[in-house]
Amino acid sequence: MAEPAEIARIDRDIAFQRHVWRLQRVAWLAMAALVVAACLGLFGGGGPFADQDRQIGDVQASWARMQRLGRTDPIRLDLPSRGGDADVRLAGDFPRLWRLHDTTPPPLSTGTAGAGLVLRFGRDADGVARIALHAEPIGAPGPRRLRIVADGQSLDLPVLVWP
Amino acid sequence: MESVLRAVALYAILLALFRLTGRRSLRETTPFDLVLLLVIGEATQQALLGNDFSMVNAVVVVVTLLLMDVGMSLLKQRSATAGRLLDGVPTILVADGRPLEDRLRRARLDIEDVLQAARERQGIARLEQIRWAVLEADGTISVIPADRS
Repeated sequence: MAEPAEIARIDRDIAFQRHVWRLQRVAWLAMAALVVAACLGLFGGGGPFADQDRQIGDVQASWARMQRLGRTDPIRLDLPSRGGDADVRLAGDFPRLWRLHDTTPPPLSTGTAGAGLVLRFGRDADGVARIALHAEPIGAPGPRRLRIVADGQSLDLPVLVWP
Repeated sequence: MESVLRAVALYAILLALFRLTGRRSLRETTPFDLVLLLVIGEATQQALLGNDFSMVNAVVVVVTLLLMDVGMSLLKQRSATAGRLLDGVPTILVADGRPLEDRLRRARLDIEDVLQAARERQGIARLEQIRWAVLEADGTISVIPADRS
């Protein structure tokens, strides 16, 4: 029996459809890779690749090097005793790049130093100031630096911000 | 500006994802598919609106999405290639009562799906009574009976 013209036309498209099926299989693999990458923390939100610890001088810093716009991540600083209160100075571009929601513990005082913000914290019984700054990245996504001076020690921490 | 960019990006991402997951996924909406669609809508809401829940932002986002949709339909109307890429093409699954197994497998269908469509739409119960079965671009299965071709 003869094949109607419309059926013949549909059958000619099978080569295109085979390309689509192949592309779909590749896309499924890419989607699975994306889920695995998310579980590993490559897109922030916690995970082994998202969180970073670093000892810089005598300051122990722990922060999320992968962050997302609209999500708040803690920046943890352990400052050993140097006598007196602990000062944390957020660099001049900090307010442009991050929105500081709150800190744990709350600062004893806040002030400005040039374009930056200075927060003063008390220390615990061991003389260590354990501080968590809860900040949300704002502005354009992409790589940026988190610049903090903690008790005189300059920290320049790399961060990649995802949209 | 940011709302428009968010809406455009999300429209493009969702279009690509739904196209790449294939026709089979939304062929016939089951109750679970409906729940899944609602959850996807919830998951994308915050990304679309950001922290701006104003009426203006909602209107800008909705207008951008609808405009993208109109733009896509105009593009498909003017370019057959764009139409094939965005909507897909029909695929013959059964020819002269003979199932094309490779195509069925790749389309994530089995012969039972074809027979179900044949029963529902043509009152046909046997494979030999099917001249052609075609998986349409919208995910439905059209059946042409042997005695009508």
